[in-house]
Amino acid sequence: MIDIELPKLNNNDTSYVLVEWLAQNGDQVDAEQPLVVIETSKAQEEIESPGAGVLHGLVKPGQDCRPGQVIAHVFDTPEEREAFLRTSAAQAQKPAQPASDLVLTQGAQALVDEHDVSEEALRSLGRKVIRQADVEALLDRTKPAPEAGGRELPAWQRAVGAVVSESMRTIPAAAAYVRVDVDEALSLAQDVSERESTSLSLPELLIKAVARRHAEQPLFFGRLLDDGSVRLPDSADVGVTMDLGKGLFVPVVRDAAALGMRQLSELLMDYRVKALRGAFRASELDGANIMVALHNAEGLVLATPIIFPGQTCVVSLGGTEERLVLDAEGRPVARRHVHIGLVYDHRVVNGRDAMAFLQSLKQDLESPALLDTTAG
Amino acid sequence: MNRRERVAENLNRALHSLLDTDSSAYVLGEDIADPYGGAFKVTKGLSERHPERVITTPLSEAGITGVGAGLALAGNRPVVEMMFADFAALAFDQLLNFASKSVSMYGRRIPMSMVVRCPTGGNRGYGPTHSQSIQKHFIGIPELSLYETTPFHDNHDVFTAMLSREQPCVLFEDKVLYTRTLFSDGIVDDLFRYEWTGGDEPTAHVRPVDDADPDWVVIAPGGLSERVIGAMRSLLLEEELNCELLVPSRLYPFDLAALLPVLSRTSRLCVIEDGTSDGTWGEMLAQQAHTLLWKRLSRPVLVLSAEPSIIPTAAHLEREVVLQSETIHRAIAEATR
Repeated sequence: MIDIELPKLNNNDTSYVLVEWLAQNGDQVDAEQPLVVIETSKAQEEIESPGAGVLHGLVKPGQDCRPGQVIAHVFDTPEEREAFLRTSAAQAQKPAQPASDLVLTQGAQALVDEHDVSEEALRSLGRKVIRQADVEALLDRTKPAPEAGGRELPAWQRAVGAVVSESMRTIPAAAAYVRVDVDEALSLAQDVSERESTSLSLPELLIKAVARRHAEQPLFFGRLLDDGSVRLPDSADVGVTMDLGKGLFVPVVRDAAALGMRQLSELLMDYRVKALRGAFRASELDGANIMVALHNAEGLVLATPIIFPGQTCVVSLGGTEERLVLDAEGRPVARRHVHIGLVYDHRVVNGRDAMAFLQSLKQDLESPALLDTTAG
Repeated sequence: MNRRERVAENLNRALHSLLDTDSSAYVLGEDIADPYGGAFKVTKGLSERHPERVITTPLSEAGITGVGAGLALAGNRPVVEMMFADFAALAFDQLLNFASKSVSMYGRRIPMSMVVRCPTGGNRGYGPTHSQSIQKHFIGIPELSLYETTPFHDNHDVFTAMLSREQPCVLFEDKVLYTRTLFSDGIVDDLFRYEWTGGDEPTAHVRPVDDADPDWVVIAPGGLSERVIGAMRSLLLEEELNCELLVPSRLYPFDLAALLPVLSRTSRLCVIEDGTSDGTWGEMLAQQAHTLLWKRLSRPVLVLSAEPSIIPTAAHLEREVVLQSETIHRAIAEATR
């Protein structure tokens, strides 16, 4: 059997019109015999048969057809055409082809594939265009009802649950903590905020300090692969935890080392607003290679966050505390400090590396002038 | 044979009908006589049927537009064809200082019913001086109305509307559109439908088959419809952004208020045009929208135009200058963040 594929007849048209068949269905045709007249916007052209055989046209006169479309078959024998007709008649009696009239967005299609959602379930939505949220609602509906007195967790919390379980199951984590004096950092943050008419504080400085480690300690930004090697990224893309009651989000600060303090603080402000509304785009949440977990509530001393699967470590920031120390002349003065934690994948780095990492963060934050770049 | 009509055929039928029904109608232009029938075949068959009123002319855009304006001044209804819109620059003086002025400078209104047809637009590899969209140069001239062909509007109705204004009109016709078929019965494709909105010269309103509120409303002239609808499809399927499109027939004067029922359903408005940026139709609409919808808009009107560049002949370079579906998709996705 030969397929007659409509050639591209000019550069202007996306579709042509089939004017008439020059041979009838079931006719024996010869090679190079004209089969059909096709009309473009410019002219009418005849399409010849590429070989000999029995013709069967698939497009009716007056219908549109496109370049590349198969408009006819030429069968080797009449019997082959009979067989083809029997098969297509049988197919025509089956119910309508699945999902041909439903349109799924990419997000919806991904969920449908992942959860094996049936076409019948999709049809029950009664919609022509099916979006991600429609499929999510469908998945929620098909779950068994919670036990009496039980409370069903929201979808986002179940998603968090899946991620942290995966982390605990696959990553042998160790942790180390360091105390960092932050008087200078806080005063610098205030200066920069005034200078740049923006608002920034320890989280922004810590993100910069973490990103600066990328050049010297790339392993902390790496991704452990199944073959035991570590894929090292080109830039520090720092995920920052945000939870303002609408779910836990970890938006990404891309190439954080290249951002100026003003850009960084404005980006974080934008992310906080989105966290408040629960309105992130997928692209803003994908692709971090290290995480900064903010636990900087007043009175909070230490935090041990979970490493995001696919990353090597997570840095935590605790709350600011105050204590009395003796200054050079032996007088008591008040000093402010925080605890910074590093939870790391012990398969990739060891305690010695972790201490070096934390010491560098401590140095940067205690002599913070270096962090105040206006680059970017 | 029952099939959908191409835009060039529809224009041709509209001109046939005009000449058949109105003995004061004329068609003038270069190389429009049969058997050639005009560079884009829009005037095919006209000269055989009406040889006395279909006049193939010398190569002088100023001359033939002047003759057209003279015919209009004497009470006739001429249609003048520019072979390419780019050449309408030569007719500018006749339109600015003679045709449009004649409507009102003689102390009483003189009906000046005439249409100047201008094949515009790129994406055909015709190069810098045969691909331009020059609408912006004709905006803001009193008593001169601007129209653009669309794949929605029947040109018979468009000609009726233009000639009933009793003032000169310029009809911009995107060359790519000539070979496209007209939409009918409210159907664009499997994903989009259209209906009519906004007054006695209706605007086509394209929307997805379901009725979610739009994230964006886009206003674009007819020549861009195909590219904008392509972007609307990918924005819906890839980004879940719901866009609706308004395609007006008349570009100037433009009454944005007539579109309020649609515009009030969104907080984001985008205006897309084919001409080069700066001093444009899109900016005029943006200004109207900012005045009319200031409190309702969540961000400034997004105006997308061609790059401020000549239009290269090489297809791959032309694509970078003239707006494409992908450019429109990217710009709207980015502006949504």
